[in-house]
Amino acid sequence: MKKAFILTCMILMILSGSLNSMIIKIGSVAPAKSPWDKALREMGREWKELSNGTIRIKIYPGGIAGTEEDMIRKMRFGTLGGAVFTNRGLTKIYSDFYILNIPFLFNSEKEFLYITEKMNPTFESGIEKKGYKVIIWSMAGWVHFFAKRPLRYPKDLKKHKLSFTVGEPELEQVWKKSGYQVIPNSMNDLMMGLQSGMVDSFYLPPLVAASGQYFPLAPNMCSMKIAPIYGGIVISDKKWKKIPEKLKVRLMESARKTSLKLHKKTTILEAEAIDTMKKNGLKINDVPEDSISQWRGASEKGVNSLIGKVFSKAIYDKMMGYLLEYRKVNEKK
Amino acid sequence: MKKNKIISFLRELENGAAYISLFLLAFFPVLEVFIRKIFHSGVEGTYDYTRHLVLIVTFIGGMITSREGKHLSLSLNFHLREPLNTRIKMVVAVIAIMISVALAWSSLSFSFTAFDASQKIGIVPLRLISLILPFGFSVIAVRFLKPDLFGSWNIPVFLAGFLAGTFLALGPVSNLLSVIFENPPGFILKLSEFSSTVSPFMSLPVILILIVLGVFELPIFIIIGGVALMLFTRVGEPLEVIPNEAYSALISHAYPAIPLFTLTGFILSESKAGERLVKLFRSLFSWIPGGLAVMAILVSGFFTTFTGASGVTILALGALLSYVLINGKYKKKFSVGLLTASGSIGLLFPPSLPIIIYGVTAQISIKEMFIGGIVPGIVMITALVIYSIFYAKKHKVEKEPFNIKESAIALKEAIWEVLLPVIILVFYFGGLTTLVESAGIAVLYSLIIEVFVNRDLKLPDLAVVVKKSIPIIGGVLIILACAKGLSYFIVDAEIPMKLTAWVQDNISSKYVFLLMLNVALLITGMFMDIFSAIMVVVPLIIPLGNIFGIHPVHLGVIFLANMELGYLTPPVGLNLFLSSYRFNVPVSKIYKYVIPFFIIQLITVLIITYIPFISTFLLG
Repeated sequence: MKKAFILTCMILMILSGSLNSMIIKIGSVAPAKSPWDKALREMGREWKELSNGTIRIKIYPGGIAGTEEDMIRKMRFGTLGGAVFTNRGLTKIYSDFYILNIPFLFNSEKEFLYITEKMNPTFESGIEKKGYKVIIWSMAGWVHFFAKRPLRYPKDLKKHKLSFTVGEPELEQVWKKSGYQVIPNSMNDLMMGLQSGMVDSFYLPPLVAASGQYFPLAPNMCSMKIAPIYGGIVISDKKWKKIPEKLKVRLMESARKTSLKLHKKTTILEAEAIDTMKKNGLKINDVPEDSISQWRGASEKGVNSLIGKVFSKAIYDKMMGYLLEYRKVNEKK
Repeated sequence: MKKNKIISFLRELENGAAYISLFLLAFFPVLEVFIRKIFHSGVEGTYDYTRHLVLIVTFIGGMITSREGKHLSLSLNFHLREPLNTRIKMVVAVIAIMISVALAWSSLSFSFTAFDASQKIGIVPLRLISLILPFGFSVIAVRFLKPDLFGSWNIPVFLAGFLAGTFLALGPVSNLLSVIFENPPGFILKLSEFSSTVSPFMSLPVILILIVLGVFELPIFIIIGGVALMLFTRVGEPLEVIPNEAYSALISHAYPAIPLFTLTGFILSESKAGERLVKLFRSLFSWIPGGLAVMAILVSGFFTTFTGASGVTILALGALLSYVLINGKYKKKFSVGLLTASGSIGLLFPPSLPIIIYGVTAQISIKEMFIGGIVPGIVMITALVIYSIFYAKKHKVEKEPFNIKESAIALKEAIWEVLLPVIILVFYFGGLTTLVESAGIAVLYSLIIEVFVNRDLKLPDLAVVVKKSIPIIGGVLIILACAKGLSYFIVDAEIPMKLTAWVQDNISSKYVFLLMLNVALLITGMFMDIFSAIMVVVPLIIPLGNIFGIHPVHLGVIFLANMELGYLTPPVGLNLFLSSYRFNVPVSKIYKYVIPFFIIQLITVLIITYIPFISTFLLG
């Protein structure tokens, strides 16, 4: 009787046996068939090959696995093995990452890429301490202001009602302290809010402004870059630890290739989105040279209130150090 | 004696907690509106408070619903002989306790694993707030006991349910222990391993038992939650995902509108507003054949257009409209059926949120979707209107001659109530408030007019209003929360993907495809809320639509029209449950009432599906 019982248990274990193979479920807010989705699937195929079929990736695109906050929870109790995050999710995991949300910090994409190259190891170890492994980083464009009326200076924005996506109280404070009128709104209410006039400006990456078709209601895009959309694929430690060390190196290599391809693709896509919007009535408001310092000046008070509160002073100083270093070298040139 | 005192004290405490959280739920959005208007800024974090109050209201409400024995079930009333009746009730209690206990353990583990100790809402740790889930499920579990009926069997029944539920949830239990202790007791881990190998085999039999017990008054949320639990068990996924989905659903953006509009509905129906409105509508519409019914359809449609078909219409307007209809000499059967069917009509008109989300997800022009939806929406409404006129003529519903003087008096009497929808619409469409804030304003406004202007309600009566609305709010929201858990199983198991792959391989005729689409979407509409359905199903049907040459706008219209129909498809369409609650009619009767309307809507959906012209000709 006892033997039979043990035998049944063993058979059951073999049947359910995921002893050697492993499925990693990855959630993503990028829509199905988008470049992000395609790149992920391609990486999945490569990983399967590299691991001789023992590692299989299942993708849950288009937010079907929930918002970024929801995906973090799902990773914590193990429904998801990984997820694609942007700043929004990563700051919820590791609050120092918030420094990349500081508005108007970077002069150019080159500058930003230099900084991330320097800062990524710091970010990675911070995120690792929270129990996650960053597989790839990727830049997915910039956030811009879109407004009903022309928008070049902070004083123009003060005349608008700025829609603010709820869930990031820190940024809300920055805008409020800059003297802008912010209206908390969920993404789902944005269209209705624009139509009813509850809000008449918002900030989003051009890709989202185009795909959500919000821009016709706020057809002035301010050329000033607010902040980068920077994120990547993150896998939970629980899953990552199960992969043999040797294999990890090769998987990371494959992931890095994906990351490079993605950056190129999203740059093209962003340009395309802006082009399409232009054809449909979007006007780009180029900011005059003198306005940049005004934008920064306006948000300075708000940003200062975040230092030491939302992110540590140490990480802020570290990043500003690199930034000044970069600007020094490049100004000489 | 002392024991009774403690119990009644605890009950008052429970009621008090429900009143306060419901009050705050209405208070924060209203506060936000005023602060914004006066100081041009909002109150920090009100949005987060409001969303989490929905969670609290749901679970305290769910507990009270259990206490009052008002959880929705099929209740077919078999009139069984004793002792068979009691025995079956004991079995039902064991199963209900088992599922509640398993959900309680899963939620407890969810609270500890899903949130970081540092996460806060304002000053309150999120973990603490989320403890309302396990607490609620535990209290609900205990309340399935019936000491008067079960007698000495009470404790064995509880133990059996508790042990079985704990066994099912050993996964979450061991997860919980490994969060709390560095070295969790080894035997629990071993036991949990054993459970995870055995439980998958229990999955299908338990699901079968749940469904069978459905006809013996096993509450619907237990069936839905239990099926979700057993399905996740079957595939060996963490059970914490079910409370997680409940949490995600309840804190999502439009949910606060549900309890608030329900409360508004109760404030009106407990006052004499119903009588005044009946008088008004009768004098205005009852000279037209079917006039009152047509009015009910139009009002419901209008309301659904901007609440997004989450069933809010039935909860908010159902009582009032049914009162109007039944007093206008329409039969209850017709009135309830009509209002159930009208509960999701209007979905196809701009600016309905599902259309917007569809457009974003499908990457097609929202404007075109708006335009494409208009005529099909009119077709669906017209079908109901024609049927109602036909019904009124056939059953000789009395007509009354139009009397302008009488109408004017009725209008004057009901003017404050008539202004309520006007105010909501002006505030919402005029950009003064969001949907949730409009719902908060609606509560405030109806309170003011019924307490201070019309003086139908005295302040102490408000406790009665809240007391009546809480079991419904809790009962409805807990079903929605559990349904979201089941929805996620469909996502996790990639069922829609598998279906589409199958279609691609096996179907070649456009018409067969459309028919299959109708059936598949109908089933989806029964089980999933519309927003999850859009996100999960739409990306899959779009490539198929391309293959079969279906216009993207037409596909969108088919999708939304089918979802509308899914809401009233027996046995699990959401509107059926909401109606059962709101009109106090057993679900089994609602099934019967809704059949003629279901058939009419089915025909219109088929027309819309097979005649693409209806959706596309306005597009030019």
